[in-house]
Amino acid sequence: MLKIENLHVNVDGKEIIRGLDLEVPKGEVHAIMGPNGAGKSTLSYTLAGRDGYEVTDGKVTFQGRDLLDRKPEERAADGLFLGFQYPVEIPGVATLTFLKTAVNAVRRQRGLEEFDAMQFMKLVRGKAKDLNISDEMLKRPVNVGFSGGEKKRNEILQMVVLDPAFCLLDETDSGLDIDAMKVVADGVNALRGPERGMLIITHYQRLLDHIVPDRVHILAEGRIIESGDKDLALELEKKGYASFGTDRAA
Amino acid sequence: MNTSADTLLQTFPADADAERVAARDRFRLLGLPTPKQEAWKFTNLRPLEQFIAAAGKPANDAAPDIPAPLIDDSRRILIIDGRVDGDISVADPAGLSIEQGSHLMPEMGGKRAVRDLAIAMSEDGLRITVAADATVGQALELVFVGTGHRAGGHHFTLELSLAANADLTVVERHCGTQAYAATIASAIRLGDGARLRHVKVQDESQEAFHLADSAVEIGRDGTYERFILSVGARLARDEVHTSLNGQGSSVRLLGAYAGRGQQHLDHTTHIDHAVPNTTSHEVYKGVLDDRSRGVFQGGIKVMKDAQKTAGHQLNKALLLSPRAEIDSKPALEIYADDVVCSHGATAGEIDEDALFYLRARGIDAVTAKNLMVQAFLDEIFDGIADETLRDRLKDRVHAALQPGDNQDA
Ligand SMILES: Nc1ncnc2c1ncn2[C@@H]1O[C@H](COP(=O)(O)OP(=O)(O)O)[C@@H](O)[C@H]1O
Ligand SMILES: [Mg+2]
Repeated sequence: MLKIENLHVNVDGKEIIRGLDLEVPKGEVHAIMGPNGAGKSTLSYTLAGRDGYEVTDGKVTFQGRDLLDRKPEERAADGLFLGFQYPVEIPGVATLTFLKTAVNAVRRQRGLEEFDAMQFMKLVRGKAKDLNISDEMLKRPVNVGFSGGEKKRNEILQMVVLDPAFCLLDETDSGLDIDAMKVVADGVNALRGPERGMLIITHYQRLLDHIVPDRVHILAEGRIIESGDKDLALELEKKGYASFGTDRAA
Repeated sequence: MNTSADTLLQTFPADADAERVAARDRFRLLGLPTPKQEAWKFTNLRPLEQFIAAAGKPANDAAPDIPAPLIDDSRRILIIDGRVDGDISVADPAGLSIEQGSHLMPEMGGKRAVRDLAIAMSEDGLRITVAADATVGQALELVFVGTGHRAGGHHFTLELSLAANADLTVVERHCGTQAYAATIASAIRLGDGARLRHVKVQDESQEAFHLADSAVEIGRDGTYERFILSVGARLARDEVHTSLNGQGSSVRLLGAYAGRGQQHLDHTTHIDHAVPNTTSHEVYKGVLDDRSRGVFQGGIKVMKDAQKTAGHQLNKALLLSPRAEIDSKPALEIYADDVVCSHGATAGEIDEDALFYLRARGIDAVTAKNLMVQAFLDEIFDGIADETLRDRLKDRVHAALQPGDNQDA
């Protein structure tokens, strides 16, 4: 479903991703683990199409089509969803307005009819409730004054209402306490299915107790240095990143 | 040599009264302001001079374009090319009276070039008064339409006078087509406890010049709430001088402006806190695209005896293009010691992180930008109590920022 071949990415003229290969078939959940600075967020932003992430070599195909020449909004419409490590605050734009604009923008691009206010509210209300997101929070400007946990739950809410084919979650667990992590993990697990792919990026193993991956990859210094099943995460937790041939501390 | 002042004064009436003559003489002596004058440092009237010099070209004779009302059940008065349209005289039992004719409270407003020009050359004017204790429920909508029929320009004087505890809502709207120069001098006097809500919409033709000068005096416990939306004209200056003359009086000045192309939008305000316990609150927000330029000059003066003054002033500009420009000049002059005053000015660009975040959610770049621009401006519209009016003005400013805005020549 998502296929990355020999990807090289420069940021500010510096090579951060250095020959990365990865394939996530549909129906599977993969995890990427790696030390700080390994290039995890760089990979996420590159896949989502952010300016300033210059692909110097390699190829990415998503659902059989070249991903890299698509605009960010087209990638979202194609079904790629990035949950941000650091969700952005947008003063003055109410969360509900933002969600509705996004959902309808994506539906329009997918050739579906836009939701009217009633249909939309029905969709959001139910999903928000599952994620412990209050009506009051939905009225607030996007992420403004949200706690770390609220921001991450808001990411999952966006993911759920946008109904993506592929979920890319960048350190969605960071800044969450155990209860919030369970809420988030339940939200993610509910989306698991035979037609959907997922790539869960995390620094710690603990999220993977709740979202059990089919495959685990270790990313260090811009490439995948080791891949295995879910036990690789446990092994990594025990031995540390150093034993996998990276000199950076975990 | 024929200066632009002479050209502007060409049709000065022979039977003018002393006040007009004095205004004409001052204007003839000093001419149009130039950037050498501190108060006009950021606004150069050279394009206006060129326009005046070239004027005299055949006037078009298209019928004026009268817009739909902004407030549905308002009392409307049309002013076409500086002349009141039809018979508008009112002396109604509710206490509102409207007289036609060019006269301003002469002692008000000081001697400024735009005032002098408007007073000297106005062919028409309005005097609107509200009697003591009268609340005028029906809003008054003054619609100024420029057609370019009179290439030289048109000038107008407006007097608004509210007696003690009177209450009025006025919408002052300027629009038009073709090229013309419009000046307006206003004198606004609020008696003790009077309350005026004043919404000005500067939506002139994109080829027009708009120069406005208002003098405002507020008595004890009087309240003046002003909102200006400024989207029109190739060059516009809206200058407001407010004196808080009575204890407990307050003024609120809100402004939203949106510039595109090569528009130049100048908002200049002066607030004098003359007595103790007065309040001023001033917020202007602008969005500037292309090569447009915004000017904000905000002066607050607190006299020696004006203790317990609260004065707040803020100008925020969002620059959508690297060639757009904002000049902000706040000026606080404080001679009292027990006061709370603040001022601030910010200029920023679209937040690229937020833009990417919106796009990553499927929202195209243009829509995402619009969403952020609207969010930036919307806050200021909360100051308009009438919901329908608020929505119409919001729609207007959002349309003004679109590339295909039909007001954009
Ligand atoms: N905008 C940037 N400009 C320059 N260097 C950057 C930028 N963003 C990230 N980097 C560098 O790229 C490397 C990878 O960063 P990142 O992808 O954020 O790592 P991770 O998410 O794995 O912690 C780090 O060395 C970081 O300092
Ligand atoms: Mg990261």
